[in-house]
Amino acid sequence: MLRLIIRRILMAVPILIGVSIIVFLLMSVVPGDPEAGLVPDDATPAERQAIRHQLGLDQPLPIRYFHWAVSALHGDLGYSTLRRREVSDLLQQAWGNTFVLAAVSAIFGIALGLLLGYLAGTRRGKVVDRVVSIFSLGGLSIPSFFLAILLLGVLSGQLRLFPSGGATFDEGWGVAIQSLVLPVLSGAMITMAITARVTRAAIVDVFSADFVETLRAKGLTEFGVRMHVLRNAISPVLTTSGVQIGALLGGSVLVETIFRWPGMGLLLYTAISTRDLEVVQGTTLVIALTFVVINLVVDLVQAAIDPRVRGAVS
Amino acid sequence: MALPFDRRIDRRALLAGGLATAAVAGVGLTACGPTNSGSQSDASATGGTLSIAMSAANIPFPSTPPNQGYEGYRFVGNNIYDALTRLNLDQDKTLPVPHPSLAEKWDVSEDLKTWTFTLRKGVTFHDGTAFNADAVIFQLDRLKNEKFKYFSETDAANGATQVRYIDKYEAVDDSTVKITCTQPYAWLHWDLLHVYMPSPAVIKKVGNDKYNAHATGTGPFKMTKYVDGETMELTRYDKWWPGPVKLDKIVLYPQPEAASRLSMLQSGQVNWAEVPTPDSIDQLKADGDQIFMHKYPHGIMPRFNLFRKPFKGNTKLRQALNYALDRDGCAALINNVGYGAKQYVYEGHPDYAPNNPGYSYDVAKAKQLLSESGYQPGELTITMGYTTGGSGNMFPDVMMQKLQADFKAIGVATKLVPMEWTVLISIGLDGLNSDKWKNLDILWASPAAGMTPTGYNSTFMSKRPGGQANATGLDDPVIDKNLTLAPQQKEEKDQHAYLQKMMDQAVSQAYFLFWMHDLNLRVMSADVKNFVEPQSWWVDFSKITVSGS
Amino acid sequence: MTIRTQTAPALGSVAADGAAGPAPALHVTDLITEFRTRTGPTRAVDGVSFTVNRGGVLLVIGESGSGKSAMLRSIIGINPPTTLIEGTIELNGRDVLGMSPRERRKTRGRDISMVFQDPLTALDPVYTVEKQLVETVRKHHPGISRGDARARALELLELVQIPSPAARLRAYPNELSGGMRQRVVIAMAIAGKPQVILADEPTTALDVTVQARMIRLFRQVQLDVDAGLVVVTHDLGVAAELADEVAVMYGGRFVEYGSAEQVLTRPAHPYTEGLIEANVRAGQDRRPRAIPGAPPSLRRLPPGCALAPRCSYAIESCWTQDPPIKDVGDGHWSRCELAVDARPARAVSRAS
Repeated sequence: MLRLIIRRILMAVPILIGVSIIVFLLMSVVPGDPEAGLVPDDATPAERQAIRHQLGLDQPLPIRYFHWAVSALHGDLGYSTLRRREVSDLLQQAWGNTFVLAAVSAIFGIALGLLLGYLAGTRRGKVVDRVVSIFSLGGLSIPSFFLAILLLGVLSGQLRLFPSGGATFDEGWGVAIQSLVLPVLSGAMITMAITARVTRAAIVDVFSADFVETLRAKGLTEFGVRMHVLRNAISPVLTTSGVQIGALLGGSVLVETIFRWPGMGLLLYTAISTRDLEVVQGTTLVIALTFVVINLVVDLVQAAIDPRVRGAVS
Repeated sequence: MALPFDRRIDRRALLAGGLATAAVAGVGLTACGPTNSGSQSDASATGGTLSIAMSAANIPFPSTPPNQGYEGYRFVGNNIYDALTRLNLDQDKTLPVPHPSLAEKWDVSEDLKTWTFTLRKGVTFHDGTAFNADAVIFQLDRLKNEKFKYFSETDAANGATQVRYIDKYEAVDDSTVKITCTQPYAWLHWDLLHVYMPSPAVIKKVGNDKYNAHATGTGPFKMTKYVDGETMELTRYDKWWPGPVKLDKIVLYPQPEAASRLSMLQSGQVNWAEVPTPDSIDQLKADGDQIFMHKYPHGIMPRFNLFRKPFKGNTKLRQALNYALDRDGCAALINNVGYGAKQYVYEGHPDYAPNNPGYSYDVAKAKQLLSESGYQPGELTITMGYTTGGSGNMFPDVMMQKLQADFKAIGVATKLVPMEWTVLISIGLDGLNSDKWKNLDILWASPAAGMTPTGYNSTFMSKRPGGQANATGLDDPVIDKNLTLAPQQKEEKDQHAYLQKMMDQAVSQAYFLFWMHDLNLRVMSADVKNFVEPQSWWVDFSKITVSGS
Repeated sequence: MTIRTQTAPALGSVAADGAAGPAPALHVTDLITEFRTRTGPTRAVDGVSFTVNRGGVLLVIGESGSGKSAMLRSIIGINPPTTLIEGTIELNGRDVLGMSPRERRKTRGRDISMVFQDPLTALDPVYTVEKQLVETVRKHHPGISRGDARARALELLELVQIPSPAARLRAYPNELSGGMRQRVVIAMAIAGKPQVILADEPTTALDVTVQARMIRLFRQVQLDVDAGLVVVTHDLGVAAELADEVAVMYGGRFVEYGSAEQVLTRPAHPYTEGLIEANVRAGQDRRPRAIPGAPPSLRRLPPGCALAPRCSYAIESCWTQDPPIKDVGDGHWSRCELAVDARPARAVSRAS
């Protein structure tokens, strides 16, 4: 098990290097320059050059990457001149915000998705199944920003039930929890829909497996049979949940923008649009790392619950 | 206590009223309390808390100068800091001009090169240290003197425009500063509006890099909380030299999404929202909110690429496109939160050319001019770059579709190239003659047209100080002459006379697409009192109160 | 020990004659199974009757799609809830079709159990053998302690002759060979000491070398618990080795019935003949595949004899009328007269 973990972490290294190189190249190719946000619109070429020099932009690309990579290996993700803060400091703040939102969204979305998927899968073709199908299809089809604006307009703007966002926890847990409701609802919708669909499909799939007949033939109650089915269906659900949690931890630009929730998505988006290379690099690195870790955790959990996977993993 | 607090109580009452949704969602009803820490007891005695949803994507840096464009100056800079001069923003009748601030008065030499400022005595920074001539020199050194220990590369880069004409500066005595300009220059007091005075003691203590977290000025508000990306809280500074302002606090939130700003206002989280969506105006009025619209120096004035064909040397073509614009139709599309532009500056602005009618909407004339310019309908396709976002750009997508239709009506096809705000700024720095951008024929521009006379430089002047060519290749001797002579005039009316001549030439030659002026739409809840809407990007907060109703 | 199996054709002309002995373990009369499908009802079992006593073995042979599996599932009661089932099914003299679903469920595992075709998929892959056996044991012995249940599970594995059973208990199904899995399935089937065991193609999925051993095990285990056994197969080798009596199923009906010896050596129905010939020709594989044509769609059975389109004996009336029952004697009957009557001629033709 330990060897597996170490091997997977080592496997992540080339992924992270690859991601950072690709991001570095992409950022250098897109039009628009980081210094645009730092100089006035009548800046002279000399003034522009001075700030480019200060940012290190006058160095050749490979050297710039090398400098960045060496620092990153030493745990120094650099300083964002555009944000006037340490990148690690920015990441810490953003990741913390996103984590809270992602954790609550994941718990809410996955739990509800499991429940709905279970209800639909065990009552295939019945009204419940149809309702869940429509609901989850809706959840998948409605763009989250549209849902967010809708929720915002109605529940916050008109009914004034919830604040329109903001993630400052120093105003107390009550406010923080209230602030979470709308972003969680908008963010968890897709997770819920996907989980419900996957759960339903997995349950339907498992129900058609031969062993279900064995269970029935040996006289298990329907509840007993469903427990077996659920346990078997959990594996594909877990895989999708992992991906969903990864996506949630990457942060949603739209949900974070609309609800003024300064997390990873917003940080990355702002950094890209201002060509803030250090922050883009740091953010993608953390997001990639998050995915690697989550995939590892999912695999480990899966191996723990499914003996068939165990052989394949180790 | 401020309204947001009261509204929160309303909301709590609503919640406690048994709305099932909340209970289902599992919200702790009792846990929700006021978010502001102000005390409720002395509500009547104070001016309340003003909470503002800005359109910026982040809290502007409380640096000197701030970032996030004029929104940074408006909400952060002017509140934390004073400069030597300050605009008279407390009236809406005339274009605000510089008035004494930290400088009590100033004398300008006969040749307009040497300015002697007499500083106000007894002014203290928020940290208790005294403001004096050394503080002024300290700040100028931070921006101009690369050898200075506390020279700030970033502030110097960002603030380069405002100290560009300063050659030398010295403290004559503790309350006198003498500044020598690089050339006869009557507009130094305009530039110095932007040069805020931070506390040297604080900078010496925390250094330039960490300064933002400790921003300290002499202005009407102290920065009492700053969470990058989330919020800033400004608290009244009781020892502000003109006397304390009315408001207890200003709380700033960044929110680039118009729909979200609207919800923040409607839900009572803020009582001031910048640029809500135009189609929400009627609803907001019905809710009893205050809608503010006022002319101010801001327009959408796209620039022609004058480096090459088809617009180089083809005045008739530029005029044709100006005649083709249905400005009233465009205004209607954005619910009249803007209006058609006749010139670069609005009618009533001191630099407005009095005897030039500008361009009406005249399709026949446009077609005729197009034909005279050497192009038949259907022959010409132009490429226009525009930004899709960035505050102060009005509503680009709607407007560009209208423009495309207007041009099509006279037989000119338009290829739209949407781009990020950063890219548009980069183009301004690179110039339309650079390899990367030379395919663009017209470039979107949203200037603060005429807020300061110094602002014309970057778009009108060909021979600019520092040597950078004009980004679009505008090179007109009449314009250059008038724009050079204007700041060499001692009398303001003479300055304006030259600038009017410059405007007249720019309009006649149709160097821009004179398109729309913005009306600075903003909305406030009914309890915000005594707000004056000046003809400026900046506003005065000193008289505003927020009354609990 | 009574090893008697009786049957009657759908017409109900033959009555059980074992009335003097103990009540039969399983007595099925005029069983009809109809699936509701979107395109209309599908009659998978069309009037089947038979009796199996404790210790007796009835073998049902036929191609895939002849309704064999549907019949077994109807008997144990695990067809989809929408399935229409008519006739009577008596288990130990109790009519199960009249029971409440709860009562019916209680008969499963305790009075009647079933072994499925594919041991690779018949076990829950995510639970250990022990968990699945213990679960079954506790189901049938409420109140049994965990330790006792485990001991019983071990005993069951010994009964089905699994080597080092204690180790196997901790294994997951995917860690066992096919043969071992089938033994576990059998162990589960006998855990409740049922009077009837149903087996659906119990050896088909197994390696050829294991099949014979498995059949013998089956036989022995069945005798150990003194249960009646109904085995469905298309493997005549199994039939020859295991069966007391054989029923041949086609188009949802029994078309021939008799002792193993009677049916397998002197087939009286053209379909049985075909099956036997196919088996001989298929050799090692022992799968019937040489009968020309395919079994009829159960959704739209043709009038007359269902085999008529594939039958070389078929005459005009076969297409329009149900063929009469031919009593061959000694309890051996066939739903066709033609094959028996034509036998001499056929023997000649084969000799030539």
